Amino acid sequence: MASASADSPAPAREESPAPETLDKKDILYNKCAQAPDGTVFYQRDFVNMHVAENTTALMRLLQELVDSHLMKTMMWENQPCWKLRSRDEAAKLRAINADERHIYHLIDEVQNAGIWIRALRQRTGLTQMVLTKCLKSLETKALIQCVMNVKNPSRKMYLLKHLEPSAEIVGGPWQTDGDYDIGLIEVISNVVVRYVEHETWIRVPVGMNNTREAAVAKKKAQVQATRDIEDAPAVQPFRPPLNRNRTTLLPRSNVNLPTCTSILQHVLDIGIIKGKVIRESDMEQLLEMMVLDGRLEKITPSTYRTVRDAKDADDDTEGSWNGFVDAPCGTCPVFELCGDEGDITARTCVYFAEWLGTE
Amino acid sequence: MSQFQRESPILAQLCTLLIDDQYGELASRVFSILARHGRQTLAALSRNSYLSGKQLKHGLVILIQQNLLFHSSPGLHHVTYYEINWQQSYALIRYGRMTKMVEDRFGEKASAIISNLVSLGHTRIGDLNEAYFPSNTSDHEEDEEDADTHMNGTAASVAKGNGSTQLLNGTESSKASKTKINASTEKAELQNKDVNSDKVTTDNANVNGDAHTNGKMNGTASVNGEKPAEGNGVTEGQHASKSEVNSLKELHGIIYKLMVEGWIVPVTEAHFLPPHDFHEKVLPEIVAEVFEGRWPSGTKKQTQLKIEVNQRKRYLRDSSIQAANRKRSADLDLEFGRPSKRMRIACTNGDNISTSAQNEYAQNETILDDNLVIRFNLEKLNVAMRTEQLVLLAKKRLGKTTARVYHTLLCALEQSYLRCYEEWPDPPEPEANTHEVDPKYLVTAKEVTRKLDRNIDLTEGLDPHVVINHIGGRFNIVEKDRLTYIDPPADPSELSIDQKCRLVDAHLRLLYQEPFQFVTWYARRGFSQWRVEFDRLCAHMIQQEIENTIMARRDHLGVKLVRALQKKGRLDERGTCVAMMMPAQEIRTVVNEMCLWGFIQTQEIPRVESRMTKHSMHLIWYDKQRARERLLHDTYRGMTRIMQRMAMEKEKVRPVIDKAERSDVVGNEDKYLNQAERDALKKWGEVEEKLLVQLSRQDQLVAILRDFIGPLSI
Ligand code: SF4
Repeated sequence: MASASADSPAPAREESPAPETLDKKDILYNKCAQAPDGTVFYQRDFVNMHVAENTTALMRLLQELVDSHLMKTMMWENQPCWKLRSRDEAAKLRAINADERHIYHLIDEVQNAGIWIRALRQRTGLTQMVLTKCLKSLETKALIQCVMNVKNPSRKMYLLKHLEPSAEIVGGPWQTDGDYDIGLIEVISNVVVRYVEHETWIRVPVGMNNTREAAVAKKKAQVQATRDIEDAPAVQPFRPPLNRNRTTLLPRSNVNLPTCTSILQHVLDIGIIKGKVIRESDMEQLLEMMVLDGRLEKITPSTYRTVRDAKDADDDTEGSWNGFVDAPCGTCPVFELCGDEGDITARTCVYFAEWLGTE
Repeated sequence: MSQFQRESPILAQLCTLLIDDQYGELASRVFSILARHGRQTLAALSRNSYLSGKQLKHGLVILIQQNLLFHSSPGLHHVTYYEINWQQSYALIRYGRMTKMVEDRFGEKASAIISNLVSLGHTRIGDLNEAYFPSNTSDHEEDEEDADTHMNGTAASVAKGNGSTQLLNGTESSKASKTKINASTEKAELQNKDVNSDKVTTDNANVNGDAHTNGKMNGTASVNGEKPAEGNGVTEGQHASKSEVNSLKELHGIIYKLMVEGWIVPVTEAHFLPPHDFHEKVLPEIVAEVFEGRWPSGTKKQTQLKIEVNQRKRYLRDSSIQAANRKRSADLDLEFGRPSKRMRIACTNGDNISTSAQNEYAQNETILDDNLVIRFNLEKLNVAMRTEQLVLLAKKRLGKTTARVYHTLLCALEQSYLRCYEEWPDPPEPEANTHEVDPKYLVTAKEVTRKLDRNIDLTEGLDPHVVINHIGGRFNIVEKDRLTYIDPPADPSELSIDQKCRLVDAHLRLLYQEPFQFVTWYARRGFSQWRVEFDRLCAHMIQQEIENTIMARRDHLGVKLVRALQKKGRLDERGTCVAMMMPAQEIRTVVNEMCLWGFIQTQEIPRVESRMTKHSMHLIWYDKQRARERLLHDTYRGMTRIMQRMAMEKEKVRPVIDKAERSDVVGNEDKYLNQAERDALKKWGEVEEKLLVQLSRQDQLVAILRDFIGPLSI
């Protein structure tokens, strides 16, 4: 409520010297405006402000405020309560007609869940034409906004201008205009993979303890170094060659496996996300999707690690799936049509010929 | 094997090809008639074929001898019905694998025996004796007849006269093909880079040792933890005669060992009955005995009937095996470490194994009754294949050192598993104490350490920090160029038993922490005690293979879709988009393709009265069991195509092959064959090898999809 803060110097200045110069309802409004945005006031709160002499006067004051759209009445557990509107908004509201106001109230009721245009028509009983006209006018006055519902892309949802639409409607940070933002998802996924891999795996050279050769070399060294055990550099001669070209990943021991919270923290820390709020539930959604994608594995219900790449196996088993799909028939486009006789058979098959190199 | 008795045309075709390959055209023709028309009598068979009665009988004998057919004579008329034993028929492709697996575990002598058993079908001990140590006095013809009468009354008359030649033919042809498929198995192993390089393990040496002393029947009993058995030394010492059995005692010792381990089982009547007849036979027995002849009514009684029937089936199937095992534990109880007593295992009624009382302690040998009929246990092969596949998977995920530790652990457990899953299980007890596990299904890190090949460097495959932690002392961790390693390297031969146990334990913990959870922690005994939840793992493996297939056929999007559906159940298009976080149009093509392959199912739910498609909800979902069956059938089909192609490729080079096999050419290839012919032969060799390797790998896929676990509920 930008206007509330703009107003606040006024009451501070006028508070003690001349309360009479201001209308009582203004005093009440200003006092309420000092509370944090969005505060809900009950009758007892107004009483404590010592503006009105008695309940009837107080109720009259409140009614005046409501009439001028500076306040709105709500119900909470069967008790009436009130909320402040900014003076700007109130001014705008005063300038619209009854139908528009009715619509505005309906939209206001649902807050950030949004309301579907068809529901509005049912509730107001207005014709489509009038409704559309009203909504247009409200939109141009910057009182309401229209968003697309990601679950039902054909449904236009309306909500107040200053509200963030709920995740249900816009689908959280991973969607832009109702579509999954593949680019963003990819970038964040990569960040997550890099982080989680580093946390959960350790890279070692293949044959990190290359002892077969080491043992042989040691034997040799012992045979050669018959002279004096003491000076013989027992360790030096059999240092195995470390094969730095081939490395492999091993599961780290004793780590705290990354959780949704820690991964989110990391993503936020490196600050690549701008202008979007990512909540834990959003992150969880992404991580679950990455599990389906085969990029992460769930170790416990709340912890993750990355999947070891086939190329990190410590020898070359990669490149084969299973006996069926590694042979031509497994991936054959005419598998279903291939028979014992007819145009397509194993005897005449070109895929086999190519695979076997027989012509 | 109800799961296997559901024949499908493609499986029938595959099996026919296999039989044609191994037993010739006649057998395969008889087989294909049975496959096409199902269970039938000899009369029906001759009506359905153009074969003469003699030919038919001839074919039937081959098939029955190999246990490829069930037969039964229900009712009063004693007409014999024949029915295909699908599991056994398919298993023809595995004959090479069987001997290979046995060789890895028990050495060449054992594998030679197995390969004999495999080519002979079910065999009487007396005949085996004869085959190994021919005696001049024995009347072969008589033996033959004797065996046949014993094994199956009906076929005996058929077999008479040409039985022995049959046997010989069978032996010859299957030997040839055995070597072929055997070779391919080895090749496949090479391609898979299996963890079998440590196959000369202590176990191996021990079996041979056992065979010599005929004493310790339990492999573990003779493994000495403090001084690891010199695996290499022993086997090399025996190298000269390693596949030759020297004495009857040795032969029986090995067979007995294999029986105790469950690789060879005594044949019982139940093995020849079709599953349906078996059921029909057991059912009235139970009704008569348990329910006093009154058919039980009410759900509770019905359930009880089911339980009793299953129990009886298990008993009939396993009693002879259990008898052998009982014998073993009695042995151990009586004379721990002393030479075992003489015993006779007789097969009078299939489940009676009697020990001759005299000379119990005097003689140290196991003598098997001549009339005992034994055969190879296919289900045990599944257990071994399960071990192999699990190790491969572990290797892909955790590297070879950890995989070897896993291999040792699984092999240690193999003895306790006669089969991968129970076909006739008891219903799960609701309040069963699931936390208590039968100790025979448990294995400790200490045991694994003892059995592990000592040439394995246990420090590999572990986070260096862990290694340092366990072996302590003078090692440092160096972090350089984003790499971490130990400096100076630790010499594994210097590690103490205790340190090794710690490292093994660390490897097992890695296996435990995998999302797959290859092993499950049970207790702290012996450093740590573990069990393996095979059912869960095997269901995982099926999923893994389905995903592999999708990955190869399409890409990761297909896999993602299947996983999303598996997790969320039925989804409409929007739900799918949300789960996969992708726009709808990108998903649509994936969905279409996956439906086409039968990996996902679709459903249309009308929302309006008029059932207009436009207004319907379209749901998709993933049914793992269906996808599994679909992939299994596709794999059968792929195997058929390979066999067909192989035949065609062979046909092309037939003249050259024939020439090369001529007796005057063999050994003088350079002289008689010209360059082009030699090239053609070489090319054919490569082609055949490539095809056989793929065939063998597809068989492994079939094992994963079909043999390790019963129908999946989800
Ligand atoms: S034989 Fe050839 S055409 Fe037939 S399914 Fe296999 S690859 Fe396809």
